[in-house]
Amino acid sequence: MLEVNTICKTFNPGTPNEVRSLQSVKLAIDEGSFVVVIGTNGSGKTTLLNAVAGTFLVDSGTIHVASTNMTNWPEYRRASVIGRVFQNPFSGTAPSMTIAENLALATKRGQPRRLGWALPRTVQSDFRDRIRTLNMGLEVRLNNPIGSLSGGQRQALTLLMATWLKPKLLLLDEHTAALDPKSADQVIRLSNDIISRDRLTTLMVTHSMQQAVNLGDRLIMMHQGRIIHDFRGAEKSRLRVNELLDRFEDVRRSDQLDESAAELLRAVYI
Amino acid sequence: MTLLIGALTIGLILSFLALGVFISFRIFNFPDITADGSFPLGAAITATLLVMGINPILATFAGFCGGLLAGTLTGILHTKFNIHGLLSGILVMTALYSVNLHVMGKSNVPLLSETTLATYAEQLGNTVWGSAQDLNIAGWEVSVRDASTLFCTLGVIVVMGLVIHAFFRTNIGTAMRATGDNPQMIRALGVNVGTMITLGLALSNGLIALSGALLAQFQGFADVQMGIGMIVLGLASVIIGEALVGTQNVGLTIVGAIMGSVLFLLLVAIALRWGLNPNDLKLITAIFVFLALVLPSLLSKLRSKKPRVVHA
Repeated sequence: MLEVNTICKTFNPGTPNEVRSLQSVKLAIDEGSFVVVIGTNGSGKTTLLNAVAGTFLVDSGTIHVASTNMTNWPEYRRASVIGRVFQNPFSGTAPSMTIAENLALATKRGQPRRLGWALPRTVQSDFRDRIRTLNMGLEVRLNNPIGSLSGGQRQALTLLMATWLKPKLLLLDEHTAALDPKSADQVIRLSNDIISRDRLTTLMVTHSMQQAVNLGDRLIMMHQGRIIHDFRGAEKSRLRVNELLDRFEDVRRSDQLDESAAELLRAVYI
Repeated sequence: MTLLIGALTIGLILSFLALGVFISFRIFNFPDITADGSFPLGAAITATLLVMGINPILATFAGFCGGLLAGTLTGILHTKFNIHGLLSGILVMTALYSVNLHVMGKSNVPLLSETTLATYAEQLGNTVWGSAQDLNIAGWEVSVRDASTLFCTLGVIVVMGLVIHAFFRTNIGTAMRATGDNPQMIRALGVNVGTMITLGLALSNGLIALSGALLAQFQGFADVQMGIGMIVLGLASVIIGEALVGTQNVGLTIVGAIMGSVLFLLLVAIALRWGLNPNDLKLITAIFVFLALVLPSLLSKLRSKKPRVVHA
């Protein structure tokens, strides 16, 4: 469903701030697969997600979704096949507009918008029914502005909006990182329900080892702009938090080795 | 009385301007100074066409279209060439000064003997009230010409307000509001933010040019200088409107902008009557907008400081 072929992205090339965020990343995701991405800070996991979403264009390599080459598509065009939930709960909804208006915007994701009414009477009951599945009591607040909702409620709504029209690919970018533990739990459970119900092909970035172990059928670990581990099938389902932490420790040690080796060389040569 | 009616009519005519500024400034948060050029552009196009003997409705529509083009240009400069919003407005406004002079061929076009929308309004008034010279409205003597112009303007602005309100409830209008509210979100839902901003600025400047076209016909001339300070006047109207009705929903804000424009022009007329030097008008308008922009945050800062003083 998603095919990322040796993409590279360097930010601020040729300056002291040069960051090689993605270095020849190769990744193929099957239809219906739920892939979790973890990694240290600056490992390029969010950059990978943004590259697929089209927030920026990659320097080299290609990106295919559903066999369509969209390497050079602008972000808004990719929205026709991609649904997204952001890390920041404020990013996914329009705060001064009502819940119903936000949902109405989501019902047209990736479609041309013309002069039809955004909120014909017929959709209201549909909105109410689907928003009831969130179990947050929001169905009675359809005409309240989103700005009056909590972060957790907003994230749940954003999730509902991203999956309102079944996307070919769902991107979740640490979407519970900014929430309190209880709301995070709720949103994660909701995500899992929706993904398994609609069999959505999903790419989820997380910082939580627990989520990484519990969710999805495949786990990718990134470090310094590269994919360094790819756990699938039985290997993924056997994986425990401790083992994952061990892997991170390995990465940390090899980093230190690099540094101490550099230190050693510097002492000898300079 | 004539003064009051005149102020009311101009206030209603300038509420098109207020609606335009509302779209650019409040919906897109884009201080679009193109207004100072598109306002006289609408007047210039309409006046020139009227002198050529073109039907007033067509001429006014042409003025509106001129504004659409000016706004589109500002939008393209901003979204395609990544020029800062304020600067793209300044560029187009400056260019329009020359364009307006070319359109009119001189700096001022009088419309005293032409058939204009004002003439239509008067004819309509004559058929409704007969050709009596004066009307008696609530004890006031009002000339048929003044009254019919006022009521016709009111009718047009009510219709236009309803149309705009309806537009902002359509799919594309809702997407436009979301573009101003949260561009990241609407991009992720498949909307080209640049196109939306360009469309919005076109609509905004179309309304502003329409306002200029109507004002030229009401006052009987178009002048290349008539746009100076229009953006500030529009802002003043929008801000007064928000103070009157709040910002909770689009419909109310539209009504507010119209009310704000009328109220502001009435205040100006009264101030002038009391002997305010007309030369000071722009200065006072600017100071007013400054205060309106600064006072809310200043007041809340004062309010939050108070308890600390008490505890200390």
